[in-house]
Amino acid sequence: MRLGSNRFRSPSVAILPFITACAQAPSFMRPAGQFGEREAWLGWVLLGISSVVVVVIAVLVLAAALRPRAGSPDLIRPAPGETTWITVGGAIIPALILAAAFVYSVVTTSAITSSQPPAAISILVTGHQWWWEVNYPGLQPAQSIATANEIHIPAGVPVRIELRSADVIHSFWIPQLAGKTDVIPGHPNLAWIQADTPGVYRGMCAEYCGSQHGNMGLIVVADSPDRFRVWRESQLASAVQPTDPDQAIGRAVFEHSPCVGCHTIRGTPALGKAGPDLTHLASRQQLAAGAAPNTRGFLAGWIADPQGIKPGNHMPRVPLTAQQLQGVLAYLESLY
Amino acid sequence: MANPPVDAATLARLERLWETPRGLRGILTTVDHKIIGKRYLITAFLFLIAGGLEAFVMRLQLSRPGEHLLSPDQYNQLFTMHGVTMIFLYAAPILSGFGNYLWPLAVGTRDMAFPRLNALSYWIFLFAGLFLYSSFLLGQAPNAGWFNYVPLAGAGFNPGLNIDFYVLGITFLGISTTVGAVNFIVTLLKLRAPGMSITRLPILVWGTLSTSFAVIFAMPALTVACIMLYLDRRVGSHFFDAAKGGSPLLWQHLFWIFGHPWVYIIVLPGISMASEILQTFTRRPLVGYSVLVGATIATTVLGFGVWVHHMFATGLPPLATTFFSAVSMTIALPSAVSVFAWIATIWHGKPVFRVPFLFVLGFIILFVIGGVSGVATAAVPYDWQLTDTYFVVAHLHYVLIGINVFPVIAAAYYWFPKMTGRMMSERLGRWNFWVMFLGFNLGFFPMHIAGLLGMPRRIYSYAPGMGWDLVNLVTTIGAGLFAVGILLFLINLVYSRRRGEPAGDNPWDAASLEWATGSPAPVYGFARIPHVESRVPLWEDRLSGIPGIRYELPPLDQDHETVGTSPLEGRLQAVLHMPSDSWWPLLLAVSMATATAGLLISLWTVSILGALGILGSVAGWLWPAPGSVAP
Amino acid sequence: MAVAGAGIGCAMSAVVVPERLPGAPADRQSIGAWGMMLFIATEAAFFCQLLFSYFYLASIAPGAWPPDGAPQLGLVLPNTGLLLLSSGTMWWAERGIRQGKAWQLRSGLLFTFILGAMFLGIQVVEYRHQHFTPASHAYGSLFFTITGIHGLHVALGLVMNLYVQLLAWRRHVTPARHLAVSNVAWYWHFVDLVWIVVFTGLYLAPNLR
Repeated sequence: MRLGSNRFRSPSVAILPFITACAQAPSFMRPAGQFGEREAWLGWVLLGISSVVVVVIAVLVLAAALRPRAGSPDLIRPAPGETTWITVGGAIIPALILAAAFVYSVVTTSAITSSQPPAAISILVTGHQWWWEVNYPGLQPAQSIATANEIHIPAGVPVRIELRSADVIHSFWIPQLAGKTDVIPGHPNLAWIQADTPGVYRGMCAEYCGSQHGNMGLIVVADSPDRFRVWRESQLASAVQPTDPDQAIGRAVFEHSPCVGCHTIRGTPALGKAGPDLTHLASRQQLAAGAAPNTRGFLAGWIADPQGIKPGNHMPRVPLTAQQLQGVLAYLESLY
Repeated sequence: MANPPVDAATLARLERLWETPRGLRGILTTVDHKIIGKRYLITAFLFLIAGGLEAFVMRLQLSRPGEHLLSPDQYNQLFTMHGVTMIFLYAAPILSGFGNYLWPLAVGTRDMAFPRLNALSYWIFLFAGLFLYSSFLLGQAPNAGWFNYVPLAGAGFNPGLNIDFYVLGITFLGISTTVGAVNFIVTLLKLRAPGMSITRLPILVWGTLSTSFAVIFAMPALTVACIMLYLDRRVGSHFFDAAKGGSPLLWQHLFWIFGHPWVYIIVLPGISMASEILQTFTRRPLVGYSVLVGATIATTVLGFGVWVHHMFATGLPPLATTFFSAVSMTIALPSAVSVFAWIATIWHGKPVFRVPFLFVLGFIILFVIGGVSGVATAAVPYDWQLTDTYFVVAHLHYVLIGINVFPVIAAAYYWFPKMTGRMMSERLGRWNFWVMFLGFNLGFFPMHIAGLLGMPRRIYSYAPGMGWDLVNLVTTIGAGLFAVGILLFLINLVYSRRRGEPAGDNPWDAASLEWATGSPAPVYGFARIPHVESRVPLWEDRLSGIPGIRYELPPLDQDHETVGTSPLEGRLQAVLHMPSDSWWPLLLAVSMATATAGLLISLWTVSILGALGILGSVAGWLWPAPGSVAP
Repeated sequence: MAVAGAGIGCAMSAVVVPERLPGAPADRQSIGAWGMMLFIATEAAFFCQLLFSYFYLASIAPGAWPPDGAPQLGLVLPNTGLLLLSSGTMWWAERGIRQGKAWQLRSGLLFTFILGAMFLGIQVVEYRHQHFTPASHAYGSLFFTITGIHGLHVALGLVMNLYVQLLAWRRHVTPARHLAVSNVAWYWHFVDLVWIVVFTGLYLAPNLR
């Protein structure tokens, strides 16, 4: 029985989509930092052992069932020595394998926990239904960064993430950078991630948290130390002033709309905390926690009808005329 | 030596004593374990189909990225009810069904120890299932997953009736399971045929015996959790409210202290049935009977020590997670030992490739695949990547379908003759097996890959470009094929009921006691309760020359009687007078359902009415029947 | 009729079958007793889970536990004494019927009932004196739920007590066959044992710290 093997005639044709999938998917089988790598190695070893065990047992079962037998009596009497298999094959060998796997697992855990230096950069991430609030605390508010659904880290060093929940249980997971850590109200947790090479790494919520659990993604952007510094500086600044009439109209509309009840744009009267900080919205790659890319078209769609893109989410529809919408779009798109 | 000659007058007397009267009254008052067993089987299979349809719609939604067949709310209700249905309304009751019909026969007695309690456990199961499903009519089916984590399941984030259906329905159902467990324990330990010492107990019943004890100790954790959640939701208590000294993790602990033993409860009896079937189709007593019994008990006990492995990502201290990781790996050992006992039995036996045997072979392979994926998740750092992904969905389906469904189908083919007097179609059975086996693997093996590619659980849709498109499409196709396999099984059942070949008493030439009586089993079970000399009573004389079964007791045809024996040695202790048909179980179940409904809609008059009904029914039930000797 | 007739003299040589098959035993060997024991086992597990919840939340409590200070012992100490005494009277009642003294059974049951009812009454008074409610905080929720569910078990025991008194009055209870009395007695002793554990964990332990 070829269990789970592909059933196409031409194996190479079948493998191609799989390889493409691997390349696209946020998979820890392509780890990008030491935490992900340790977990991936453990995974490969366990997968290897598992595959060997399954094949060996399947062969034994089939051999036992199909082996040729001379004419035997209808009922076979028990004979001595029949239970040796069981002790050796069933108890001793599996015990050794399991012990080895357990030891390797403990070693991996220990290596991971000992790579968590106390003086690492620390980011506060708060899980909401259905978005990620990201804060880089500073000693003063003027030195703090607030953004959403996108985390920038310097490449090559471990980064500490403090995890809190604003409502229900979520789980913080960037597969290529580290395993999951749950986000539990009343139980602040710590996660550690590290990306060795600069790049964009996708993550997502990994604990069912309500109707839009499937649309609660986030990305981690690993930058070289220089680029990270530049990003930090720009994020610390207050919102840019409007530079053309459209943007000015947009800002005015925004400041007089219910939007300010939920959103903050630093340097303006908008100080709402219920939704993501929009001060540097245009610098982000995605909208609505990965539900849509950050383009003018999708931003328009999102503002005009949030429920259409992410049904059940908490952002209400704010009625705007076409002219008002154009203005708001121009303004928000200027917020780098 | 089966069916000793008993004169016609005695048989007629026995029939009259034990038969259920025809008509509505008989249907509502019967305590016949065979009728109750068949009801359990049919009802559980209906829930299997319901759960399967729920899954099928979900698979259609997930077959391609960005599908709009279901809204997120609809999807969330479906995946929750799929889990609840399969795990609570199918997996345990189907095993109770086989147990109810067969275990009394397999241990040589005429009924379960508490016949009326048996009837009660079925009625509660039926009413609790209907109660849970009535939530669909309101469009408010439970929607927080089958493990129902708080705070999502709390009143703040889930104000409707969805979760109230869940906590009340599950608690109500739990009464049925607990009562059933008590019944199985006492039957299997006290009502055996004389001479059947504990070491002569057929392997068949060991899973139920062991897991019935597990039910006794595990079910209360769920009851406590549900009571607490009901109070949090309705009365404003704070068990799970972090702001006021409670904790969402308390729910997780309580739930999994119940939940992990529960998953062994729904597979170990299946394993025992598979061992029994293996024995028959290898034409020899099992190699390593004691080992298999020990493995069953060890798995049950260890099963209470692993629950934290569902919580490895919650931020618990490493000492705790390491301990539970160690026990979770250790629990694989009894399973490994069992697999080799089966291999040894097949090797040293003479396989007969009939349909039940095919399903047992398939079960062994699926068991091993499910087992190794479980060991993978027992490694804490690896689990941090695997938990809450489709890898776990693959694992749980390999163990649940592999170790529950496949043995159940095998058992259906195997014991259909005993229950109906007819054989199922062998040809259709082979198609059934191959379509189910291939469909299952095609559907569920790719889920391992989806998990490794980062696809989380419980998402109603996914974006294109995540790399998950192909595995999901293949899974949906495989699931469809698997559904065709189930359909073939149902067709075979219906067809064979009418047109199957007539079976004799023992068409498989099997060893255990249930094959020593007629097919279908007569209403009185055994015309004469046998005395048992061997673990394989119907084979012993051919194996060693000593008769395995003797008839010494009188027919016990003066009243509704069977015998009681001592738990370990099987020494004859007493003649037991069994109760017959009664209205009380139904009345009690209806009262309980009324009380539950009252709690759902917060109408205290209804609940109090139900409570009074409960008191009255129990009082009536326990009152000594006129003319009988009080216990 | 529950005792099968004689006539097993034709037993085969290898097996000993008594001449008269005994009727169902009414003591610890009986299946009715097994049923009650298993029911008690599941209830014991139930209380274990309640207490686990209490000690778990206590262990992770950020502030003081109990939040409002240790519970007062003034009412609960004598109340515990009453309940323990009721176990004594229940034991005395069962002993009575075993020795054939129906009056001892009935008066013992009656005393047990009165003591149990007093326990519940005093518990209600204690509830009224508490400064917190189940909705105050998690400790309040646990305190009232654990003691309340225990109280429900006591109430159920009182109902069972009345039932057995009724059985006795209708002469369904004899020295040889009184499983109902034994079952109710075991249940009652169990409920008392649970109270000792609850009392120690919820009342004594915080006061000893």
